[in-house]
Amino acid sequence: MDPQVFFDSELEQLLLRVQDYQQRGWRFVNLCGSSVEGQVELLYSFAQGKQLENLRLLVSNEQSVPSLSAIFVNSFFFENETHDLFGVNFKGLAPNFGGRFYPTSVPTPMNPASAQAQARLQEVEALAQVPSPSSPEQQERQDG
Amino acid sequence: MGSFRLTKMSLRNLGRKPATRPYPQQPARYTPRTKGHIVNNIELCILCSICQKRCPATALTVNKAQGTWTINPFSCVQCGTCVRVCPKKSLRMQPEYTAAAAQMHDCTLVKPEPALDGERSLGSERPQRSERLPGSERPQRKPRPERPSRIGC
Amino acid sequence: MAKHTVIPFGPQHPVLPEPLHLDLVLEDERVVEAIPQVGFIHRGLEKLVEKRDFQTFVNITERICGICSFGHSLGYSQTIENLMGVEVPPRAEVLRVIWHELSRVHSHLLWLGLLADAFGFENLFMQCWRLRERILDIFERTTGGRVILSACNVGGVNQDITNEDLRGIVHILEGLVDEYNELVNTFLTDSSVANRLRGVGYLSKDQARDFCTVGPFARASGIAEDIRSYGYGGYGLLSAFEPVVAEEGDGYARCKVRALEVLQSIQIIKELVEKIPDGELSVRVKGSPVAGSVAVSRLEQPRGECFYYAKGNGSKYLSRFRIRTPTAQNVAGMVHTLQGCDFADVPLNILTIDPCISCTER
Repeated sequence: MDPQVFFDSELEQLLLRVQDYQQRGWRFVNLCGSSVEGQVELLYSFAQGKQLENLRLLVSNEQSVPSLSAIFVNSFFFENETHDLFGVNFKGLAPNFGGRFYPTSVPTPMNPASAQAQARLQEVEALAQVPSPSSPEQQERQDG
Repeated sequence: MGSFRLTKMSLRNLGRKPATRPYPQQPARYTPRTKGHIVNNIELCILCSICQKRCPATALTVNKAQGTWTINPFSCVQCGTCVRVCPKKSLRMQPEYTAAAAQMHDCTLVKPEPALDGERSLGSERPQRSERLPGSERPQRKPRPERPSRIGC
Repeated sequence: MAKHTVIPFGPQHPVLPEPLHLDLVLEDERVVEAIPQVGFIHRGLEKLVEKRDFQTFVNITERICGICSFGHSLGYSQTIENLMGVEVPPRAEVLRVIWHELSRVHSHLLWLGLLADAFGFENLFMQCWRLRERILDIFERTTGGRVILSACNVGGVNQDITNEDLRGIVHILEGLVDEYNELVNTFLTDSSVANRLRGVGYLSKDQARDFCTVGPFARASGIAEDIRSYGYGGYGLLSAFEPVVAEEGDGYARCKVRALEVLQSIQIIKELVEKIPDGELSVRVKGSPVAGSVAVSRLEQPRGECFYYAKGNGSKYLSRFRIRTPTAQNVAGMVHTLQGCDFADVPLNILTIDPCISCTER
């Protein structure tokens, strides 16, 4: 069985810990988000040989996270994906697809509490309240 | 010109018959374990609906009150979960695939009752039931819409 | 100054098994930059885990991809077993490894065929796929499905292969080896193949390490990493396991690594068939994952290291399930190898990472 090692980390320490992993020759394995009570919990995984360690950090929808794409180039894939599915902002992400990496029909589908999802919800509700001009019942009421 | 390494195999294959089979002139070849379609021995079925709860494709509908077991063979993904969880082992997986059809349709089996009692309410969508007599034949099936013949159900 | 043209590649292309889009910035037939775009086959399967019982979700994980189908159901089952502390019977573990290694053989034969098709050698493509049909027949006879096996579940496997059938499988594989060796000889020594593969898409060992590449893509550049060497599950029964490594770092090396891995997998199956213990096939998993529990697991799929993460919340639905596929890791390396290559070599470069986009996008 793979080692199940999880560390909790703070946002300020993230870059330092990642740089430490890189200098020790570890490789970057995974970044994923999960929705926890309106916030997003990010999981970073690093491995070297048989060892596997996971860092967890909790970010709110307004915070932005420093990007790892300067340290581990291949993290751009996961950061763009997390941005599109959860609405997390990554500072310094390159290349940044600007929300067009995974074109979904609703914004941030895995995190309904994010700013983009809330904005879309308000848009949809506003549209539902405007009366449709083409329905015959509406026309009748307006005429007579 | 460079070397061509596939000469021996190419010449050998000139003398062999093709590796593909001329289906449908030759019938399809199935193995005993091939997952084709589900059949239910309705006599053994107790309509517990465990198969309905565990089906990942929601292809099964079991109605204990009406005594019917329905499968949509076009939704079924032939995973075999229902066969494994059935407590009475009435479900079986047969090798032949469901034949193509112009319209999707269900396949409903009706569980025979020991005896009919009283009147049924009029206008209900109940399927016909058969009276169980000693040595009776298979129960009557609900009349189905016209469709081309298919292997299986 | 040379003129820059932007040519779109994909999502539909004869050489790609799955849709991937690249914007290629060309300067007179030489690629200067490649910008990848994915998302054509995103089905939101990670969101679906919140709505499907964790035991029936196995059937969904095996339908994520047609080539790595058994690998995903195995990885999912392993992760849930880690999450709930379930111990799988030894016979089930060995049967899982046998099916997984057969899955690796069929995937590499498929890839070798696609590679031959990519440089126009259709006869070789057909011969590889003809051999692959024998593996698919083995799958059909043992599990009932050619591509989607439905053989693995949480707690073990669904059906058994008798010891006699296992020896029959070894006999079929041994019969396949002679013809397979002829094909490998063509791939590795034929001059027309060599002209297309040698020197194409070079990635040095340091670059491969910087890009965190995995699988045969990394092993072709000299990095000897393979999850199977850690001995998890049924791999613990093997007496010795050394990853197949090549040093050249180009398309030829990647072809060599995958071609030799097929022979290695056949040896693994032979060894396991001799050592397989008797016993039960699965244990019944009752209850649900405990709230707040988390588990990770890794698996060496045909394309590389696949990482799984699961989080339970006390109900029968998982709160999060994550699959990180090897292609997602290798995309950065692929984009780097495309810089500076000829326009005609672009399909080959993309194929040498063995892209499986439907697993990557789920």
